[in-house]
Amino acid sequence: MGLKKPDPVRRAGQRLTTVVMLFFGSAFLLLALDPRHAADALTGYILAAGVPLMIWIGSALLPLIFPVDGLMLSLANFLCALGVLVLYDTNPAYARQQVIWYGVGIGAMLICILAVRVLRFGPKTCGILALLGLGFLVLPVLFGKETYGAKNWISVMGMSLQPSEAVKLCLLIICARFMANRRFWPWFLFAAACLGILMLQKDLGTALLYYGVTLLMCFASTGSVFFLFSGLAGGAAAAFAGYRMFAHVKKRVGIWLNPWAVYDTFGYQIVHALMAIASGGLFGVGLGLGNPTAIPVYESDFIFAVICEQFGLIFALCVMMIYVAMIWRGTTTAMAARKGFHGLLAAGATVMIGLQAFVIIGGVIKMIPLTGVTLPFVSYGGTSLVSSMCLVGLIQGVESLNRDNVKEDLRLSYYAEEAGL
Amino acid sequence: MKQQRFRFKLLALLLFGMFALLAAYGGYSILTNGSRWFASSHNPRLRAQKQQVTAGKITDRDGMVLAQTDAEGNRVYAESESVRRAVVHVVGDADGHVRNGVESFQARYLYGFEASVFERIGDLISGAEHTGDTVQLTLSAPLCEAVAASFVRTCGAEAKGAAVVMDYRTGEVLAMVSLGSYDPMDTASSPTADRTRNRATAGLYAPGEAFGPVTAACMLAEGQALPDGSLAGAEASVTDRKLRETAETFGYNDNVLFRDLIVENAVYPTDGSAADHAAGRGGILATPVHLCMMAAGIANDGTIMEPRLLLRVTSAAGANRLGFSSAEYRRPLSPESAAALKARLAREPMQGGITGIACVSDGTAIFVGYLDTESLPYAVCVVVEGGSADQARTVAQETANRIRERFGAIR
Repeated sequence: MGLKKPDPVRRAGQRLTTVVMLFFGSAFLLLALDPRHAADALTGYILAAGVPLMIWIGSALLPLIFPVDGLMLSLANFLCALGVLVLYDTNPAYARQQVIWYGVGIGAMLICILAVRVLRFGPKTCGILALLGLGFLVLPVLFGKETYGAKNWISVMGMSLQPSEAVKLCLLIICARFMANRRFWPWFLFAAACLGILMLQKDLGTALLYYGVTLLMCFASTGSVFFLFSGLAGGAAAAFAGYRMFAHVKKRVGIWLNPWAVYDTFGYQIVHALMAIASGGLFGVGLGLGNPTAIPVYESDFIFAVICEQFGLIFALCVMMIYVAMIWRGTTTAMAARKGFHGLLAAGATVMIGLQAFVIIGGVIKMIPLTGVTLPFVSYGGTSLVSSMCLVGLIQGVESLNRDNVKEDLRLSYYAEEAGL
Repeated sequence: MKQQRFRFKLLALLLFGMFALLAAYGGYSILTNGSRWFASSHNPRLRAQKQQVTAGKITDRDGMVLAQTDAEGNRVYAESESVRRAVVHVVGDADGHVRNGVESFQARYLYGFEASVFERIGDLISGAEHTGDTVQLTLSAPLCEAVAASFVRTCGAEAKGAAVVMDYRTGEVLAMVSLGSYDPMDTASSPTADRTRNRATAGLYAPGEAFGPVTAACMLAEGQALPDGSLAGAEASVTDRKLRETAETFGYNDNVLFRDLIVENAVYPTDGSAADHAAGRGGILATPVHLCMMAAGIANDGTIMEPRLLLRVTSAAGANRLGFSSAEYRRPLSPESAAALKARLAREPMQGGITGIACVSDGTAIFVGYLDTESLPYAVCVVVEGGSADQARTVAQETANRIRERFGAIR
């Protein structure tokens, strides 16, 4: 009997986890020793020990409980820890809250893994999810406050929540279930209702995300190129109509085309992001240096500009590569799924992460008009971070089932061999 | 399931492509626009850095100091007032009155943003004050001073306009003068916007007959014979579309992103008649820098070089940070067509060893041309607002004479 060959992907994940833990431990220590952070030095020391520990729990311990993809966990944890690091440097109070949400996110990820393994997500469960999702999504329209032109937040017991972040999980599950069952109307009506409510909230970024993910999942399910291009054409027509009809859409496009011309009124956000990106150059000004707090909404929508300023363009490209690697791992999981529902669920969650990262990074670097979505795992915000971890949880749930299936196949083939079949 | 797996792969490829696009766009836009974004007057990082770093020197090509920081930390400019006034639009000023001067556009170097990690650590250990880089320009300050003096002598003390001298082989800008001007050391009064505007890079003028070479280039490209006599104002028998295409090869309608200079885009409008456009009117606009580049392209056998303003950047320790590098901007003409145009331009009524066209367009006198001595490869553009063609020509000739005195012996 030969020695068991170690899984190269698993080993890569373990090595990555170790390097990531060392990196963040030393980075938090460095910031904690900075006189600028003297008042919050204790937070820094706690984070220097706590964040690597959480990375270890999220990346190394979890695979011992469930058979999941360690590499993807390491990548997700790296991004979460990067967000906490940048927030600690720019606003330690945000970092303290974010690290708590990071812990909640790891718990939520576990629940999602379990849910995928245990629940069937039949039509009845999906019906309940749809009602809950729509009810939750409509809350900001009724009780929300308008922030940066969109009415997509609600306040519960002093905490701000963005329901659309949680509802995207419902969207994925409902689309995956009914698309896998070849039932058109349930998912179509739910997605259309979500889009309608998001348009009422003027939350164009999330609407774009929901639309794109639904369309791509539909293509993955049906393979209909006609449907895909009709959807793209419909989206383009809706965008054009929105541009002609709504002043705020026209304003966004105007800002995108020439933010410098409207610096004093609407363009200052993107202008400051561009100046920060340019200030960072290729290698960045260095952790703890620069002037990242000059960027408006630096903690959330524009956190990528902060990363560019402090760590430079090359590091920012590496962050993009992490999203690409997550897409690769998520797609591998989707392709290995035995059931259509699981495959679509993993693919949908992967597309959601990839598309959201693309939309916000593209907006920050002025490649596309800026829409207010968060950078998955990195941006400050509890709902955003927890929902991103839940997306990873959905993918990992499918991955764990895939690995169980492979193990079962090996067991059966072993017995078949034993029986001389 | 097999087909579905294939479609999952397609989705992944689509997302990979989108991220590749992001990376390519991000890299390209930072490399091409980064200096402009960084040098913006809105950038709070520059203000912060000015408090911590001793700004580096700005010198002309021969080492004459045009700007430096004194012992009190104040920014001081060239000793001679006439030099200060002649180069202020290129160099800029401490108060940021001039937009896009070297003081702001090259702040990355002057305020030490390009210092390496080792240099920063070295400063930290030694406790030395961090000093920015020295920026050596391609400008010749005495030549700029002489051009400004000639301008004032010929057109009057209150004359407004611009003059540009450029080495057409390398793109080095030897002189760039904008009038009216002001003294950056005179802090008692604030200069008006009219005096702080760099007309050489930001002034858009209708070229009029100075557009003749472009029209002629279009006729040559169409296989037509050039008219007898002067090129200026020659009747053209070309369509507007062909003329626009030719103008665009000369850089009209191009969103110019030069490394060292911010220049307004030259405009060739999409509407209007071919007759008007052939005569350089009807909404055609260009800066003196662009007109100079046009003449430079003809003189340089059909190749326009990118105008460069930085000769060298050195760190406080003397290490070379950046050396001058020439780059081709456009190649609008074949060498044969350029030779044909040169032969025809030589018939223009000029004296004093300079070839070119002098005209008046929309009340502005313009001269564009080049020295007809091969060893002195310089193109010249002079623009005099409200002046006469003779005045523009005289300034150009005196500039040529000065170039000969200054650079003829060396070459």
